Amino acid sequence: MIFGTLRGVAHAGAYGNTRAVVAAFKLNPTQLRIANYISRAPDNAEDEYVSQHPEVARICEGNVVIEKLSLGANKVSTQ
Amino acid sequence: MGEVIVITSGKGGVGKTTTVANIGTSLAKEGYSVVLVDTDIGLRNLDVVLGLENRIVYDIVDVTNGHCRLKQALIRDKRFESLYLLPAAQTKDKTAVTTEQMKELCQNLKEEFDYVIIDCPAGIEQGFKNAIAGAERAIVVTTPEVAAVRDADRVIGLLEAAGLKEPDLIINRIRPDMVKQGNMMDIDDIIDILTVNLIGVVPEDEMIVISTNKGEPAVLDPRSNAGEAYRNIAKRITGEDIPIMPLEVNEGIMALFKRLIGRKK
Repeated sequence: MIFGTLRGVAHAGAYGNTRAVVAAFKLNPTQLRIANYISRAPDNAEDEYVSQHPEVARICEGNVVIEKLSLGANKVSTQ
Repeated sequence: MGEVIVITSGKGGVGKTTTVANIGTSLAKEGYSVVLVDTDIGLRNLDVVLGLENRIVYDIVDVTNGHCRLKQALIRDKRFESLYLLPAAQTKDKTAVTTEQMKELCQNLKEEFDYVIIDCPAGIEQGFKNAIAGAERAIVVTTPEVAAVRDADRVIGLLEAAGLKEPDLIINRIRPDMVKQGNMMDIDDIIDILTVNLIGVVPEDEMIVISTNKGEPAVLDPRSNAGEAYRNIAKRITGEDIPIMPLEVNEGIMALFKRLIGRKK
């Protein structure tokens, strides 16, 4: 959980924990890794999308998905 | 069987990485299969110039240590299918790779590719020794400055001592207007000092800064002067006989205007 902007490469659950998440106020990474999954920002960086909300990245059905951070959703996933 | 070419300079900041990216892209555009190897371990930059930094998973140190297969570390360019990058590690230092490992790596790469182009780090220490270890041909980049030419001279000596005879020379960032005024070394002065074969002259070009920041090599921009110079250098590398572009003083319309006014005074 980063109280600020995330840039660069972040790796959560490097030892294989697929339930690890990456959360930041501004999620703007070049590459995100969770356990053995890897995702990267899209190539057309000119129309860079900057979210106004804190976001969280997690693994969902084998893909890294990014969604708005809300405490309720976090609880569901950790159950 | 391909050819392994190292791009080196001695001095930093003369444009080795830009040269590697542009020549590599140009060769790939001509249809050759090309791999660019960044040996500047700890200070990698070639990935940014090519706009491929977000694709890096494994790097050259992972390959030489056996943490991954060579194919896993190679990153395919997003524009050309025949262009690949082997990135340097960012968290290690130059001693993470040995000259023997580099020789073996170059041997493996040249079996797969027409051209293996190695981006050498600045300096003449371990990183330089690694970069030239597997090379068969060397291209020295210099700028028309005394410091850069002196370093190039030293590097040419080291290359020849290492068995890389007759390196080629690229003179980068030349400003024809300053040469004409006598404020910058001209091509003949530099060749007199270095006595090597000139393979290309690249004019100073603002577009290089823009293209480097965007991760789009200048050779892809038909309007860029430097891009054209690099395209010609790539052709000369493949053996085509293309005369060196004559330097033209490219006066803007304002400069012309000022000169006309100045003459009246």
